[in-house]
Amino acid sequence: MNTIGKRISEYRKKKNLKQDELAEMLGVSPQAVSKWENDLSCPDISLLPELSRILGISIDELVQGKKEEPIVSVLPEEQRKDINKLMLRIVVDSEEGDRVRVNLPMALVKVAIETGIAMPQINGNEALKNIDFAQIFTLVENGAIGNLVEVDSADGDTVRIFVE
Amino acid sequence: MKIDITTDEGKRVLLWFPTRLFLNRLTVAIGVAYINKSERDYGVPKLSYSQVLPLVKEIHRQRRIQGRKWTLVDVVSADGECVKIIL
Repeated sequence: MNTIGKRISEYRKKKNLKQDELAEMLGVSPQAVSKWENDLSCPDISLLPELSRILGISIDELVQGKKEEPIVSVLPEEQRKDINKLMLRIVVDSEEGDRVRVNLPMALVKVAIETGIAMPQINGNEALKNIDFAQIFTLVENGAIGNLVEVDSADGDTVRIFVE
Repeated sequence: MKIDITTDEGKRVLLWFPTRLFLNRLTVAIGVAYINKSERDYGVPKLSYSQVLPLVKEIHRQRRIQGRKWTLVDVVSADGECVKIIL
């Protein structure tokens, strides 16, 4: 299992730092760094911002191992995938705890737009009425991928539309 | 088409249907007629046969492209029931 200690060790080595060098930069003893890396103790919370800065990663990545992904990115033309191979994912998380995931290939979305089918005609959901799928399709055609729509409704539901 | 239902007690029901039996010209015509008939009750905007048929054709094409492992819908309720429709 990848622990915070393993991550400190991994990123320290990537930065070509020795344990005592890192310790000196943080103002702690080399033994303390050794204990962190062997999962015998954890760095003090007040050290996390400086530690993450030295290691060149975010605090989230250091603590949880999660990389911060860009919300949305626009790919240059040479890096773009064929639009027919992309998937539009609709994620709805209700406040009550229900989760709905819909996966639609972009080619299917294209046909739906061409034939003039709107989302409420498919699922009867009025909340999705104002989401313009033609606009989303245009964005994707122009190289946008990632989290294209994120809506938090007043009653606590979250709707996310992303393309990957 | 595979419908995978897992109840909150952990029981699993797996239903296999030939997709073409459910998605063909006849069922599209029946489905569209039914939706338009019930439009008054549910307020769903009208659909036409010519709108839905290209969509069904594309679904069949995508099934081949996605290698029949395309999870169209995955619903997990708050009490743990799970329904998946895999095409």
